[in-house]
Amino acid sequence: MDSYTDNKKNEFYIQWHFIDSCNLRCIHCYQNDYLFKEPDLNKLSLIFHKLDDALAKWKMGGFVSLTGGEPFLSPSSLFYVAELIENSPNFQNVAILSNGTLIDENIIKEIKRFKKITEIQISIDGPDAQIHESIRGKGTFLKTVETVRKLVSAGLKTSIMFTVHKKNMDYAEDMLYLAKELKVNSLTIERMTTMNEKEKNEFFINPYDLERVYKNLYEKSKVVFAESVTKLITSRPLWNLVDESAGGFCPVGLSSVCILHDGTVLPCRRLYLPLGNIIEEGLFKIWYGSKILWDIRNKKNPPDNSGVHPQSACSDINCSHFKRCGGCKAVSYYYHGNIHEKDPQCWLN
Amino acid sequence: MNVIKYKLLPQYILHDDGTEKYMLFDTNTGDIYKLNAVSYNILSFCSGEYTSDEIKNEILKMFDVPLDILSKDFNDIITKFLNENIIS
Ligand code: SF4
Ligand code: SF4
Repeated sequence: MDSYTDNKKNEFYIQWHFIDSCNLRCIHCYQNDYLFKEPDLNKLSLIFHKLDDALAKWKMGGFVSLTGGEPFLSPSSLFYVAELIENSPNFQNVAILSNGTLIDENIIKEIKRFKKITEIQISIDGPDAQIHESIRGKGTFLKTVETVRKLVSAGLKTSIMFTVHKKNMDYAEDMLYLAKELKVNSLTIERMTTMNEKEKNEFFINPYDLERVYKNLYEKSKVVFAESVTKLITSRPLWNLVDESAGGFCPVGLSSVCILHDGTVLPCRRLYLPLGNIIEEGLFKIWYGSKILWDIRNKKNPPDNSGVHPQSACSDINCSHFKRCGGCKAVSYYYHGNIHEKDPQCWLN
Repeated sequence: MNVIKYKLLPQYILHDDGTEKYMLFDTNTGDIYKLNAVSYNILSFCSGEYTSDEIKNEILKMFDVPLDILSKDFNDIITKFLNENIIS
């Protein structure tokens, strides 16, 4: 095993957007093209085999998040991929990330056939219909909540994914109560990556508000989730500022990759820097040859005199949190135009 | 005068990560080779443009090593890479 894929758990995380289409039009979504297109199974199979080969070579266990678009818009394609994964010794677990509006009892029955589908993640962007639907569209809240109830009562590990931004941050705390009431296994708080000036003006949370939101959530979760099955997931950068034992270094370039439906490879879905196409080039060529990935991995170049950080600004300032954090590279990239700049939502001076 | 020119096969990628860790990646198989500085620099010149003598001259400028020792090392290294189908 080489030093560029190694991690302690020997896991490699793949976010696979195997379908491009979606039935919703969420205001903060990264997708541009919403026309329904049935995924090309041939392409999906080629992508799968390239990933499988790489995992076998690296002797790493693959953790895949299957998403879109909306994965349940094409259940046949979703279960086609799930079947390939189920039969491979190189993949360990699959999570499916969905908007939760298209999952019925038959789908749940089908999901349960797969031993490796270990988690269903449902996006909920507010604790009530008003907030959630202002972001995800009319008529979506009850449908989604109903889906979560069905998944939980079917005994499937279920998580709520809450993408926090300026428009819903004041309701973040209420998400704890919703998650508890729904008896989900976990509530994950994701920060929205604002990718342009317009989004920045509308959605960007300044560091001091984020500090307040994170600290409140963390403290309240101890009370709300006490004696409950639900956990608050705090494994992303910046949570370490709330509790030193929380947080986690961004895995981009080290042990994770994002694949789009057509085989385009990105460091992360929130970091739209195409690295190549896995179908045409395979993963090894991209993983070992991409200048962007080597730049992301580079923590050791000395700073130059131009004021631009050629390596992480966090390590330049000797931040004691660096090993557990390093900030979100995507947020830095879209805010500063440089992945190595300090995460603009970090509230540490 | 040695006019043979060597070329790294296209599936290979050389990498110097700036910390004196030199790597060679086979993008077909995913194999990874750790290289020493001399082997790395020799392979860097295997672009099909340089003759063996030109490569040796460049290496002599970079490392403090007598010509006879370098020549022997160079031959060993080139033979190994030829045998492993890394250069042609
Ligand atoms: S300075 Fe960087 S490493 Fe330190 S807490 Fe802020 S973002 Fe994280
Ligand atoms: S770039 Fe940000 S969102 Fe992407 S993996 Fe890193 S921390 Fe997570």
